[in-house]
Formats: sequence, structure tokens, C-alpha cells
Amino acid sequence: MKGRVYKFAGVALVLYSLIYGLLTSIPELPIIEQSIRNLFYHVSMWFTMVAMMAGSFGNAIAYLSKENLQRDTRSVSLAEVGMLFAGLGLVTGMMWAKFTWGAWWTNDPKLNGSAITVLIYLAYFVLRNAMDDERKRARISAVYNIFAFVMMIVFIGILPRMTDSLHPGNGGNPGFNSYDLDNRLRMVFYPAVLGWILIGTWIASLRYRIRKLQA
Amino acid sequence: MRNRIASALALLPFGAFAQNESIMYSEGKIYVVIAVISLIFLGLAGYLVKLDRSIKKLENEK
Repeated sequence: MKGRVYKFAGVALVLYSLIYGLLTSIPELPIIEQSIRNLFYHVSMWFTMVAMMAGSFGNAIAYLSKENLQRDTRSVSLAEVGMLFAGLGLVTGMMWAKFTWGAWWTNDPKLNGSAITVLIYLAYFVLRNAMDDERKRARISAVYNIFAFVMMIVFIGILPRMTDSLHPGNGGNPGFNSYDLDNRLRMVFYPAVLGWILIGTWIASLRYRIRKLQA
Repeated sequence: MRNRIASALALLPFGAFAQNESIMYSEGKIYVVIAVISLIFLGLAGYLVKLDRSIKKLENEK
């Protein structure tokens, strides 16, 4: 019962964001217009991805300190779900970019940084699959996971903020919160992020349990 | 249990919307889109529940 509550809460919160996100009134902004509603859907994908990778990172550290193989299984399951959300974030971001910036992809530090992050994590899975010995694989991939997480913070959290960027929240371009993330948007955005994180945790737990069954 | 959920889902569109049909036609029919999105999402969530149960069954067998 206890384990079910967070799943139900996640579904309810996301459902709320899907419904109320289309109904709520929005700030009137040029160019972005109605597409500001993508804040509830596109941005929450990336927040969820970062949360999943943070969980994966935490479990990688836990593995290194206690050498418990379950931690490694949790770590890789969370990273897999993080990649799922990163893929969704990239695709939805391209869609949004096309109709606000006029191109599917721009050489923007935020965009390239997120693409590099995805590549870094892809290498994590390649690295894992290259090793057969369980303990060796767990240890080396935990170390790489720590590196990947730090690189993710650098590439999507730090570098884009140091240069000009079209993407909100970076460089000379203020984030939504500084002028137009008003309370109407917050009322949908935060529940959406929380809901997707709960659903991501749920999917990761399914991946984890399947891996345990396979072992 | 499964049958009850299925019949509840089947009744939902007709039962709920018959009384409030005018709502579905208002605001440029945005509520129709909301209904479609919600159904898709609930379908996916239901699929996750099903996966969860079948994994649980495997775990109990083990």
C-alpha cells in the first residue's frame, strides 16, 4: 500500500498538469504566445532527467562506499529512465525551437550542452556493456557515473549561463522566473515536475525489479 | 476488478459528457483535446500498472 501512494500521486499530478496546463490563463508574450504552455511539458522532462541522474549518481556513490551490487542496479535503472526523459526533452525542445526560434536546432550552448550530456551518458551504457565481471562493471561504471553527473551539471547548468543563449535561463537571456514565471505558471509547473519525477521513479523501479529477476 | 474498471472507463465518456455536452463544445473545443490527452496518459499509466503487476507475479513465483 505504502509503495503505491507515490505512483498514484505521480499520475494524479501529471494528469492535473495536462488538464490545467491547457486551461490556465497565461502571460501574453510576443513570439512565444500559447507555446509558453510547453513550460509545463518540455521543461519538466529535463527537470525529471536531472532528478533521475541525481538518483543514479547517489546510488553510484553508495555503491563505491558499501560495494552493494543492488546499488549498482538501482544506479543503472535510474540512468536508463533519465535517458528516456532526456530523449523526450530533446525532441520536444526541437519542436518548440522550430516555432519560436525558426530552426529545429541552433548552435546554442544549452542545446549543444544537452546533446553532449546525452552522449556522455550513452557512453556510460557502452562502458557497462563492455564488461562481463559484475563487480568490476559496477565499480568502473560508478566512477564514470560520477564523472558523467558532474559533466552534466557543467554542460547544462554552468556553461550555458556564461555565454549568450537563446534559451531562457542563460547568459544575457533571463529565465522565465525573472519576468514571467508568474504564479499561474508556477501552479502548474511545479506539480508537473514533481509528478513526472514520481512517474520516472516508478518506471525506474520497474526496470530495477526486472534486472533483479534476470540476475 | 478488471471488468469493473473496464466498464467504468467505457461509461465515463457517455455518462459524464452527456450531461455536460455543452462544455465539450465551448472554448473552441479545447476540452475535447484535454479529454484525448488525458485518455492517452491514463492509458499509459494503466499499462504501467499492468507491467507492475506482472513483474510482481514473477517476483512471487521466484
